[in-house]
Amino acid sequence: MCENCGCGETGSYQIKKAGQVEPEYAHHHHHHHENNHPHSHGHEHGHPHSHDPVQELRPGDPEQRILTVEKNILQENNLLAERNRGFFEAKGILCINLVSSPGSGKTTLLEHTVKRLKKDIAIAVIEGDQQSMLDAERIAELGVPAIQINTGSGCHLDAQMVNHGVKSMNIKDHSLLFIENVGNLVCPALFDLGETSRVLIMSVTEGEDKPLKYPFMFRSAQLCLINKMDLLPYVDFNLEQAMNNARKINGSLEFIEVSAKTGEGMDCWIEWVMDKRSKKST
Amino acid sequence: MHELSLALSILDATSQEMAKNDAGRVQEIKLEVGMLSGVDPEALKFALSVAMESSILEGASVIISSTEGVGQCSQCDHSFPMPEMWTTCPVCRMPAGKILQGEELKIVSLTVDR
Repeated sequence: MCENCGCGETGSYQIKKAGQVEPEYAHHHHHHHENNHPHSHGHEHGHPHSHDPVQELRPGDPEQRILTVEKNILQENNLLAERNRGFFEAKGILCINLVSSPGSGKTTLLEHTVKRLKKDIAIAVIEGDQQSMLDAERIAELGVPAIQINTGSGCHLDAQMVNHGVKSMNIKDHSLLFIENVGNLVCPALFDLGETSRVLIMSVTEGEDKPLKYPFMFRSAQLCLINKMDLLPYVDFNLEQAMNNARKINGSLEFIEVSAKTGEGMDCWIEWVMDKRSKKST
Repeated sequence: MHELSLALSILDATSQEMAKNDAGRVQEIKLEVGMLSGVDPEALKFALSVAMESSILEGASVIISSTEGVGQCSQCDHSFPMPEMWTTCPVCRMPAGKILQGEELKIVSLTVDR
């Protein structure tokens, strides 16, 4: 049950700053109405037009009518994502959504990225995990602002969580904002957070068939970082095949081979980020 | 599990539509789920069955129609059926640049008591 209002909703999440015990923000529920009472959703228009869907009588049943809705199920998320995007654009923030399966080395890669860039650029990090403050604490140790969103039972971040997270952070203009999504190659694919770029991290310890098994994520990303390249000689990972599989799904996907551990390829990744950032500010 | 989030979004959108139209009980909800949308219709149906209990959609029948995938070649612009996300163009073997159909994820209509 929701602790704030007792609404029975289980899909709650918490936002905490690194080192903080009490959550900055804790509540989330998609309200559903237990009964059919009339109520308003506070919706104002300065211009005359009708929002009534096309209505028709259900053939043969005068007691029923059909309301044509034709509404995207993800519409609320997509609208909020656009608001986030507008906010990032207005403040000149480059927002990168990092997605991958668990254990691909996202946090380690992020740590090394932050270390390299923090001298020159303001950086902020939003960490998404089902439980624990571990990742936000790792990032906060580097001296950059980091918050943790615990999705509880949820398997992905959504635009609303990011919206609340960003509001709790006071991010400087022209910052680089990294969002480390929940480690999961399925669910986060569908949820636009308002990011500027989506970067997928795949490691050589995974199978080269990952792109075919999780095509939606590979389709939605702009860059694929292939991590743990230092382990390539020791594993049965066909790099060429992995890239070809990904290209079948997303012909414009870029690739950078990296090892967060040894630093191999990191210059190239940093260059990619800086290039995106300079394009954004022009 | 993202199907549960979608089920909750469906409940939200439904309650907004009902309030707007001063509608009675929902008898039927029609959804369209494209075969390239990343959503499994069966999983969505299951998530909905759980989410609908004690909600405004309780007792409503759920009808999900699926739309086949159609892509447009990134090279030759040829339109071709895409049963899978990785189906390439039958003419030039290139991946689809655009997905023309199959990514739909929407509430089509509600049948309600007057």
